[in-house]
Amino acid sequence: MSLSDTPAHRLIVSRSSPKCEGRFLTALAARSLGGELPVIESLSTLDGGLGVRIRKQNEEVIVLLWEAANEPTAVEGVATDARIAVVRRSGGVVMGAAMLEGTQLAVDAEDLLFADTPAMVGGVRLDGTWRMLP
Amino acid sequence: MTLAREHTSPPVPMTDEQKFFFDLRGRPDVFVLCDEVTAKEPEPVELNFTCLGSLSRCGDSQFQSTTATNRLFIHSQSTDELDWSTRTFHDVPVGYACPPSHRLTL
Repeated sequence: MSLSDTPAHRLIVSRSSPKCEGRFLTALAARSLGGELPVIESLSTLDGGLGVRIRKQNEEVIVLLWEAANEPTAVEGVATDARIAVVRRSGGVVMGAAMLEGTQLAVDAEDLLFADTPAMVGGVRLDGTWRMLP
Repeated sequence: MTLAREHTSPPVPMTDEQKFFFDLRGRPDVFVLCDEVTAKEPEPVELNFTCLGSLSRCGDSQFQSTTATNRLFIHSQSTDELDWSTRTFHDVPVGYACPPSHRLTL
């Protein structure tokens, strides 16, 4: 097969207005043609940040991104001062969470992650018990 | 004779963001990319995704690239409003205004 038989298709995502700084948040999901599609949605309730929710069957992953560590902000039940936070729910139960440059993260008013100084911290729920990872 | 290491640049250390998402390995079905861009002068910064299959829009902020057997969904957002466009490259002529795409074929 020659190269000309396999064209490259390019998606160009550009900002409407010129600026010196910008942030993008992109989710990529690869599936077979018959595979179940995830539902990917932007979270528009973020003030000065970006967020995306990815749902598939009863699983949900939320990724939140701010420009810098911030005052505790609650979005979709996730309250954190971290710069980046990821929360995974299964059947409505939080099964995993992680934060970058944060000192606290709570989901649905349950404190899950904490640190004395801004740090990268994660945790998982195993056998029904929440455990922070070292 | 030269040693291999003389031709090899030191590895670029991962950023905190890369370490963060690398440590979330084990959930590889969706990849999330965080891009922070800084320009010397104001400019309409853009991201380029070069795909194997034709592109079509499939919802708000979402495109899909479809090949004979697979689909790739691309959902991208920014703190500013975004414009979207697509192009298809075949043989890229010399001096073409847009950067060519380079593909590794295995």
